[in-house]
Amino acid sequence: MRLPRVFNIRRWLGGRRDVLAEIEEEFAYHLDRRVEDLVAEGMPPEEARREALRRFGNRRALREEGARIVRGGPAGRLRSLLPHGWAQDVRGGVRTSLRSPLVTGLALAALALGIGANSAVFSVVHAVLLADLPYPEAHRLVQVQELHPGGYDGPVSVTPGNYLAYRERVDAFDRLEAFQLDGWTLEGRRAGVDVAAVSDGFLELLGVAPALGRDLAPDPPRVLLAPLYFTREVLVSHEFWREELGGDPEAVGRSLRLAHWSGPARGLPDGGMMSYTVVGVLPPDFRLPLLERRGTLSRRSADLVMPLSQGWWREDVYGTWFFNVVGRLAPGVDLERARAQLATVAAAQREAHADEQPNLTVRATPLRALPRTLYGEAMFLLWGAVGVILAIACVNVACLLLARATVREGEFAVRASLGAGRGRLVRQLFTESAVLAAAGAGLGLGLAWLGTRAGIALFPGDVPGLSEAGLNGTVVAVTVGVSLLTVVLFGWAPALLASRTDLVARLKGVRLPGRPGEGRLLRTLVTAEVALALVLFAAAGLLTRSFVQLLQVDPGFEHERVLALSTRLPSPPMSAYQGPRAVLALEDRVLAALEALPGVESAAAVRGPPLAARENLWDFTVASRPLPADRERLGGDYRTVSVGYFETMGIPVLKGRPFTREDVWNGPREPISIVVSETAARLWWPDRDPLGEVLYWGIQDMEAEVFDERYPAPVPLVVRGVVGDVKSVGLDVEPRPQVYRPTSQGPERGLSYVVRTGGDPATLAGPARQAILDVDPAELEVPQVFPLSERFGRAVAQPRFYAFLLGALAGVSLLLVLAGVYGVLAFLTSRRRHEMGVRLALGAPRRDLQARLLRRGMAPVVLGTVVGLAAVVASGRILGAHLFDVPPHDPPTLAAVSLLLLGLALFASWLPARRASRVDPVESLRAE
Amino acid sequence: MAEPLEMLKGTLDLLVLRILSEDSSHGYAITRRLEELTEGALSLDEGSMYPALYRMEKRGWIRSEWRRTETGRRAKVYELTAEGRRRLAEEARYWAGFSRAVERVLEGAAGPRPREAHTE
Repeated sequence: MRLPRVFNIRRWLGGRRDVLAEIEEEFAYHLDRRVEDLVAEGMPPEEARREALRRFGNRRALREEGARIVRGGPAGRLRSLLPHGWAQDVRGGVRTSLRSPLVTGLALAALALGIGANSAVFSVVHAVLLADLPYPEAHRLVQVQELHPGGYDGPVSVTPGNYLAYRERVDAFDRLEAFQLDGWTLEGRRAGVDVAAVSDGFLELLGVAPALGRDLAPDPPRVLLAPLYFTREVLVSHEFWREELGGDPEAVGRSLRLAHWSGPARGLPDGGMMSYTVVGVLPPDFRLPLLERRGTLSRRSADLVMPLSQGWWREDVYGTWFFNVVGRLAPGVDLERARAQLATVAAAQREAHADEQPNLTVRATPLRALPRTLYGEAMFLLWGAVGVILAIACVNVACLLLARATVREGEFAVRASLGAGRGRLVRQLFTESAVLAAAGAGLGLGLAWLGTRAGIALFPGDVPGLSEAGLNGTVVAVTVGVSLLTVVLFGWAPALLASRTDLVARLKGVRLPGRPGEGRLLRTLVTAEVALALVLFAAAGLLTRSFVQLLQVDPGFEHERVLALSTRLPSPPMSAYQGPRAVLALEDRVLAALEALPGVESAAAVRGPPLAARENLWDFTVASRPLPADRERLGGDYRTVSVGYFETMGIPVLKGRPFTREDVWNGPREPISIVVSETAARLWWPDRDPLGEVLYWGIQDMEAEVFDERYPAPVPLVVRGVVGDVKSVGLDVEPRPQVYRPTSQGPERGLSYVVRTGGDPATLAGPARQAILDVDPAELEVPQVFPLSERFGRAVAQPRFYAFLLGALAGVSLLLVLAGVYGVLAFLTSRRRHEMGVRLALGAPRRDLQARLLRRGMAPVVLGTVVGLAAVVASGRILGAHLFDVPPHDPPTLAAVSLLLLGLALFASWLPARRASRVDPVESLRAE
Repeated sequence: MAEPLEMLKGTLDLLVLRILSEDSSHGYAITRRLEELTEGALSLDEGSMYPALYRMEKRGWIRSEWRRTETGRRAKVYELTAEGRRRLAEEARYWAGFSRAVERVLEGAAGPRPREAHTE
């Protein structure tokens, strides 16, 4: 089929370029001819020239006026781009659409859903994956992380010693800077301050200059833990400057008294309080870079920025990852070269410190690529799902328009006989499609706006940038692009049909019993949409099943009847509770107050309740085993709990005893009691009774003569009991070895209290909170109160969200497909009324006819189901990563969704089949 | 020779259409033909015919084409379209009615009030 020339682009482009030159040529010809004639009449050439110019008039003004006319105004230019008669086509398109409101309504709904879903997802992709970073030349910024295969899962930040080696020996970076975030105490302020200790040139790395004052003075990386002797300067954030320094324009030069949180514990004079000079104020839009941390992008902020030398870290301790490291690639250097150099240095560091980092490798990721690395796959799946919906919508609309075009064959034939070329008819049909697509896009944008708002509100979790998702110029532009694409996708079918209209037959009034091509085309389209819908439907089914599996996971603790309350004490320099004894005494008073409440069965304390806190990972050395060569499985989740914790939380004691009042502190080097989890016992003491066995903190070589003193004091940790595993970080995460120690042998300041109740824990929230506050209203704060069941719900919230979202999308696609199956069969049977009439008149039983029609309707559906199932099995790996305890080709799920789809399609086919088989033979024959 | 008359607005189109209805021709030839037919009675900046030509081409009354002339130079030749032919008939009819009305007024006879002469 030859497409008509829809856009007259050559006229538009070519015409513009030469307008002035052409006019000038035409004028010159006129003048020359006039001169010739005047000379022929006897005028001297000089004079003739002047006379010709005089008669011609203002040549320049005429040329400008002419050019203006030829080019037309902006509107004229647009008009010249569009084919002649386009307005008529558009009006015709609107009229035709309005004449069949049902078809138009169905098509519009399908397009609006398809386009809207795509725009909504694109607006999220745009906000999360494609957003610009707030730094100049951000594409050169790279995050550097360490990997320790066999030790910890996933990338971690960087060990100071390794950082110094990279900084010194890698020249692929203009700058390679580190920052460390920590909590500090500001004299006179109850809440702590967040401090970023940054290496030299950190602000230059990000391309940021202070709004007031100057950058920190250069401060060479230090060797020893001796911050006292270095420059004590700070930059303050804009918010800090406004709120704490009153927005004082003279703030530069003022002095702040600050102490690191560990100051008192280290026995420093004055709890470590020292004076720092404010040298500058950061601009209001200053942001620390969003970096990858444990599988998410974390948005961190700092009130103060100080030199790295002031931070508390030791460069000689490996396997302790203090530094977030960001580099700026030197101009013209590509990432691969930087990676190669980093790998070389990492290999040297691995050799030099083989004991502590035997498997060290290094990873460099552009900051811009981080969102894609982390969320790319989920977005890709989502986009795939809405892409499928759009494809189904297009197929459906193509079917509807095809059916309508067939009915309009008479109209086309008349128009063709009146001289409308085939190209003209095709163009008219395309214009009608474009009118539909434009209306669909308008509705779709509305839907996208609603959908994005609702999706962001419902999404459980924190994805940086997500809340900024919405409609903007780019999203609208992409929507327009998608709509144009849909015109091409669905507009060709009716156009193709119209271009084949058999003029003579139509004008003779012969009703064709359907062309062979038309039915096959429609059935192929139905097969395609059924296959697409089945893929979506199966994905939704699998995710739902995976979510149900997750709900049935036993977290290993009682979550229905336990209330958790987190507490906070001021930093030691500001607090009456400085020493361990005082903190422990406070804990006892709080527990007593909670247990005295009516309805409370028991209460206990824990640093970091399960599902509500991150793992507290430590390396442990098993005294009775030689150090394993691969260091595998030496990491454990280390939590401090009070007496009565296991009982309160319903964690079963499998062996030995829980903590009791016997576990008291006997001196700095005396043994500490610990309780380990089932998994810890199995991994660390596979062939002996763990009770009485000993662990040490850190990685110690048990064959060495002396303890490695870089680790905390070598206190023996003696196993007193074994308890059940607890899913402490996520229901779908296999628990690591867990090690508990009692608060009585190492009190903690930031404890949470867990309260087991007889009934609904939420009713106790108010009284329990008050009871804690009453113990010491001056110092105790209770920032969070929540039933543990809420955290359990949060742990399943994302899988539920995805299952729900995909379920909704699958439902939409299913509706579209059923409408398609119904519409196509209804159309095809209506074309065969005459044939039905003949068959009935010749004595064919109605039941046979009906079965025959049903078979016709269901054949493409069955084929589509088979194709869809094959696609699901083939693409299983992609979805597999998002499923918990369900294989991506789970037979029961696939069988259920296939049967449901087939059943519904059977119903959708049965309606038109039944109607067609009830045809009155006499009437249908007479109708022709 | 009497002082040449000022051109009435809108009449140039009519005259050009009329000339082109005889034969296709280029701008200068149209000018010469106009001089010939009016015997130089109309005063006109010769160049002002070109914007009128472009405008009529834009409206689809005439179309143009670059052709080689006898001397081998390129010249832009205009010809009337079907639309232009219809337009000419219409304009001529209108002009006839208009000038008749003006004459009647000048002769003092009562006649139909002319429609307002439509201008560009």
